[in-house]
Amino acid sequence: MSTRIAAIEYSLPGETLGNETLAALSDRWTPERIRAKTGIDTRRIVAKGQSSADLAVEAATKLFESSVVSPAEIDFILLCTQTPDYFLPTTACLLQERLGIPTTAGALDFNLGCSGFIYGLGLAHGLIESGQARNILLLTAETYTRFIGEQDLNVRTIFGDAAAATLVQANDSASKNAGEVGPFVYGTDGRGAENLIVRQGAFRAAAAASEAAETEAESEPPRLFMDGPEIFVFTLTTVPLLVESILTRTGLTLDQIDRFVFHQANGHMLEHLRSKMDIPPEKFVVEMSDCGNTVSSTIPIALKRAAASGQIQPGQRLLLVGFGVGYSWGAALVRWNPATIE
Amino acid sequence: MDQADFLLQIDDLFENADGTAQFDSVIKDLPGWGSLTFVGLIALIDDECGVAISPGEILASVTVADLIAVIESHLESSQAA
Repeated sequence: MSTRIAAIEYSLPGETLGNETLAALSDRWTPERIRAKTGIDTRRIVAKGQSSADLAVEAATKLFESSVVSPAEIDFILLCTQTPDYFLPTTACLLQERLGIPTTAGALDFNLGCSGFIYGLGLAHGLIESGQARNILLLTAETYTRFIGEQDLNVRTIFGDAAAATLVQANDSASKNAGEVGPFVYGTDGRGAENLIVRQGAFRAAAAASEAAETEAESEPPRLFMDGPEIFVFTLTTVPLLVESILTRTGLTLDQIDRFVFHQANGHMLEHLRSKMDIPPEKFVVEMSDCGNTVSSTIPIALKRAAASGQIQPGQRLLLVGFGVGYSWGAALVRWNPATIE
Repeated sequence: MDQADFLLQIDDLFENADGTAQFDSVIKDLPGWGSLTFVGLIALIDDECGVAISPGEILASVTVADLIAVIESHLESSQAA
């Protein structure tokens, strides 16, 4: 038995944020310059009152409507989010009820950002290979724009909101081209925590603060801080080694990978990494111009779109690479053979 | 590294006329300096010299000549290794 990615659906919120709007906020930026430096034209933004869980419900509902699986068949829910509905209860538990998934299903949230899809896939693979589950609903859902002030163009030009629902399924087929996932390579370096962080809203600041400072901290909205140059150096030193590491693990060469699907962090960064690693452009999936960096959903969205456009074909060997906040990173080899492709 | 070419590459990155960046130019005073060009400068140095220079090293370099000295120091270290 192996594990495969059987189907992916995603949901983007209705509101858009274009480069013209952002450029109007600063005399140092133009729409063209933002496009050139980020690879992004528009971002999708949640409406007032809409949460990550709402987007996840939309994505999962699409998955169920595609008939590839029914809610009754799901035996585990994994939700990757850093913008849950509440501190508690676990948002995945709320989604079990909202999606009509049986009460016999397991459910948990895990808190990761741009590496989250790889880790979710790895967790799902472990649950399947150990016989604990057969149909796992892997949800990635994020609304980072909730953490971004209107004037903070450093991050506002980059991030958009989205959710994706991926069916990770036990695969009984013994066919050579049957879908499979793995091996995986992971990495973590907490020294990078300060470079991409939301400090407010949780308990570290409150634990250290005086009563007056605590009151002030409580009135301050949680804000995303990103040190772009530090993040860039992290990616250009870590990602090539990560790719090298998983190739060594698999015994494959770069040429033997059919398609590369990296976390869609920033178009400029992706092009730099692609060029640095000598990956041919036709093998490198870039799908972010109309939705921005959607954190843990970028890889499933790129997979779904590349499959729909034909850039990814059944039977192909894919290398998925996630990296970001934490710092946290991971890579997975995938044999692409979904149950359905629209 | 070709230092004259590096100056032209900085001009290109910062979208300035050729000849704007000089060895004694203060990096942060160059027209076009900002968060995007900061990242672009790291990418340029990685592309052209194969050196992943830290943001702190760029910020500590006052002039273009200072930056070139840091890059050359990295290159010497990597050749010695």
